Amino acid sequence: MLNYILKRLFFSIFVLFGVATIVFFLVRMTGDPVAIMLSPDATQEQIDQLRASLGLDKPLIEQYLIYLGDLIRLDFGRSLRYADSAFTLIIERLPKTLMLAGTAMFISLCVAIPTGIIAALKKGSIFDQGIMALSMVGQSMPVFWIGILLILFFAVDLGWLPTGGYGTVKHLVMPAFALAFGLIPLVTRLLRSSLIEVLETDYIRTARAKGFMPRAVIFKHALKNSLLPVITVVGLQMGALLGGSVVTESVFAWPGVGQMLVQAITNRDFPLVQAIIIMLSAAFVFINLLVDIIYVFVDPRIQY
Amino acid sequence: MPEKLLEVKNLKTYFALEDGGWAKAVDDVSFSVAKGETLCIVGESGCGKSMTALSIMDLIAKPPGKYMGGQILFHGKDLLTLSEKEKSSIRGNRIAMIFQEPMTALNPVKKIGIQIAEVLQLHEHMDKRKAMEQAILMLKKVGIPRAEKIVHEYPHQFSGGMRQRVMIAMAMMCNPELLIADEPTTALDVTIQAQVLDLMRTMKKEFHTALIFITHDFGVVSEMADNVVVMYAGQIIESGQADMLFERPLHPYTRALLASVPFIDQDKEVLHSIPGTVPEASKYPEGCRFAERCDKCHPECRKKEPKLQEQEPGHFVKCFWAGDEYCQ
Ligand SMILES: Nc1ncnc2c1ncn2[C@@H]1O[C@H](COP(=O)(O)OP(=O)(O)OP(=O)(O)O)[C@@H](O)[C@H]1O
Ligand SMILES: [Mg+2]
Repeated sequence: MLNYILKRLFFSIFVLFGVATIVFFLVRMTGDPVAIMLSPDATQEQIDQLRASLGLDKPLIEQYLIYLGDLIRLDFGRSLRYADSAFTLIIERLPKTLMLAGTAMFISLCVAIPTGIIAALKKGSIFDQGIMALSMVGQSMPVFWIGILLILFFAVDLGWLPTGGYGTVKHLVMPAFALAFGLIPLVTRLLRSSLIEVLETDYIRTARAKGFMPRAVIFKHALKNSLLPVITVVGLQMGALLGGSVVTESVFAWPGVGQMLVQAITNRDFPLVQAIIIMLSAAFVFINLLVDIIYVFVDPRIQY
Repeated sequence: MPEKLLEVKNLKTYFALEDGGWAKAVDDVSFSVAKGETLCIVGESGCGKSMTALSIMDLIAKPPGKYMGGQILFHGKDLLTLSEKEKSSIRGNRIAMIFQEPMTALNPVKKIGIQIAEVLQLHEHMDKRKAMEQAILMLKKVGIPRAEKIVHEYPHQFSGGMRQRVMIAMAMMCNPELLIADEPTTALDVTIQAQVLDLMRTMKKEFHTALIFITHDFGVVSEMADNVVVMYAGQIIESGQADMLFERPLHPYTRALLASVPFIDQDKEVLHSIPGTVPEASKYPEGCRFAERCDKCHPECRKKEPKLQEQEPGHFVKCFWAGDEYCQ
C-alpha cells in the first residue's frame, strides 16, 4: 500500500511537469504582459527596461529552463501584477475556494444521497420519475445562469442575501447552492442506478433471505457496494470544483482562486497563472490518489 | 401421520411478460414437508424449482412476479397473507435458505463473521460480541479451520466449497425448522459436492431441521431424500416416498430422468438423455406438457391434461399411463 502510494506520487511528478510545460508555453501565446503594464505612451527604453527586469528579454528556452529550475526549488515566481510571491497569493485565497467547494459538496451529498436511495427503493414510482425529470432539468442548466437567477430572486427581489462578495455565511449561501445545483442531479442519478444494480445481486437476495427488511438491506448490505462509482465521481467533481468554481466565483465576486485565475489571465500575469494551474493540477492528482486509497477501505477486493 | 411443518397448496407463481402474456413458472403445485423430513424437488433446468423455493421465502421480485393463487401454510398459517415484517421475522430465523451460486451469494464488502453474526443480532437481538462467538462456533461445526481468523476475512478470499460452508453456517445460526437448499452443490467440484452433502446431512441430524433440497441430480436424491417431488414445466408430475419412486417410477419423465443417471452400483452401458427441451413457461401446450418428448405419447395426451392421481398409497402420478397400461 505504502509502496503503491509512493509509486503514484513519483509518477505524479511527471504529470505535473507536463502541466507546467504546457501552461508555460500556452500563457506566452496570450500576448505580451509588458504591453498592458505600461501606459501606451511609454518609450521603447522603458519597455526594454521593464522587460529585462521581468526576465522576459531572454530567449524562450532560457526562460523555460530558469522557470523549471525555480519550480524544482518550489519557487513559483512573483506575480507581475501584485509584486508578491505567487505562492503566498494563492495560499491566501485557497481557504476561500476550499470553503465554497466543500460547502457545495456537503450540500450536494446531503441532498443527493437520500434522494438517490429513495428513488432506487421506489424505482418506477411517481416520486422516482419526478426526481429523474428534475435532475435532467437541473443537469442541463449552466451554473452561471442558475447564479444569475439566484441573484435576481434572493438578492435583488427579496433582498435576503447579498448579491456577492465574501465575509458572512449569508455570502456563502448562493454560490454554494449554485454549485450544488449541478452536482445534486449527477450524484442522485449515479447513486440511484448503482443501487438498483446492486439490489439485483445475489447477495442482496441472501440478505433478504436472512430476514432483513428492505430498508435494512439498503443500509446494511447495498449502500456500501453502490458507493464505489459515487466516490469516483465525487472525487473528480471535487477536483473540478477547485478550479471549476471559476465561473461561480466570478458571478458572485467570491474572492477565491478561480476568480484570481481569471484576473491573472486577463492581466497576462504569467507566473501567477502558471502557479495556479500547477497547484490546481496537484490538487487534482492528490484527490485522485485519495479516491484510490478510499477504494481499498470500501471494497476489500481491491488491493494495490 | 407426522405433523406437517410446511404445506404448499395449489401454488401458482406467474411472471408478467412484456407481450402481456404470463410465464407460468409455478403452476398449481402442492406438496408438504413434515418436521425433520427431507423433501427433494427434482427436475430439469427451467421447470420451476427455484421459483417454488423463492415463493416459499416470498423472495420473488414483484413485479414481474405474481402469486396467482394458492397457499403456503407454515404451521398452518398462510405465509402469503402475512405482513412484510412478519415474513421477515420468519426468514432466516425459522425458514432459512441456501442458494446455488456460492461465489455471488455473499456480500463482497462485509467480513464473513459479520455476515454470519448479523443473523443472530437481527432475530435474537444478541449483542455483537456474543453473536460473533456463536458465529465462530458455527463455522467450526461446518468444518472451517481457523474459524477465529476467518471471521475477519472477506468472501473473495475463499473457494466455492468454503463459501457454501459459510452459507450453511449462516442458515443454521437461528436453528431453523426448515432449510431450503436450492442446488447447493451444483456449482462445486465433485469431491467438494460430496463433502457439502455430508455436512448438510450431519447438520440436519444435529439440528432436527426439515430440508427441502432442490436438485436436478437423481444421484443426490437417492442419498438425501425421504420424499421426492418431480417437477416438469411448472407442475408436479410425480411424487412419493423416495424408495417407491426409485423402485417403481411411474411417469415416463421420471423414468427417463432415472435412466440418465450414472449410478455407481449399476453397470449401465448406455446413458439415456431425454430428447427435446422443456417448453417455455409462456408457451405450454394443451394436454400433457411432457407429451412432446414422451415415448409413450398417445394422441389423447395432446388433447387432455392428466390429473395428479394417487396410484398407490402416497405415490402420485400425473399421467394417463400409470405404470404401463394406458388407463384413463
Ligand atoms: N422474471 C421472469 N420473467 C419471466 N419468466 C421467468 C422469470 N423468472 C423465471 N421465469 C421462468 O420461470 C421458469 C422456472 O424457472 P426456475 O428458475 O424456477 O427454474 P429451475 O427449475 O430452478 O431451473 P434451474 O435448474 O436452471 O435452476 C423458467 O422457465 C423461467 O423462464
Ligand atoms: Mg434454479
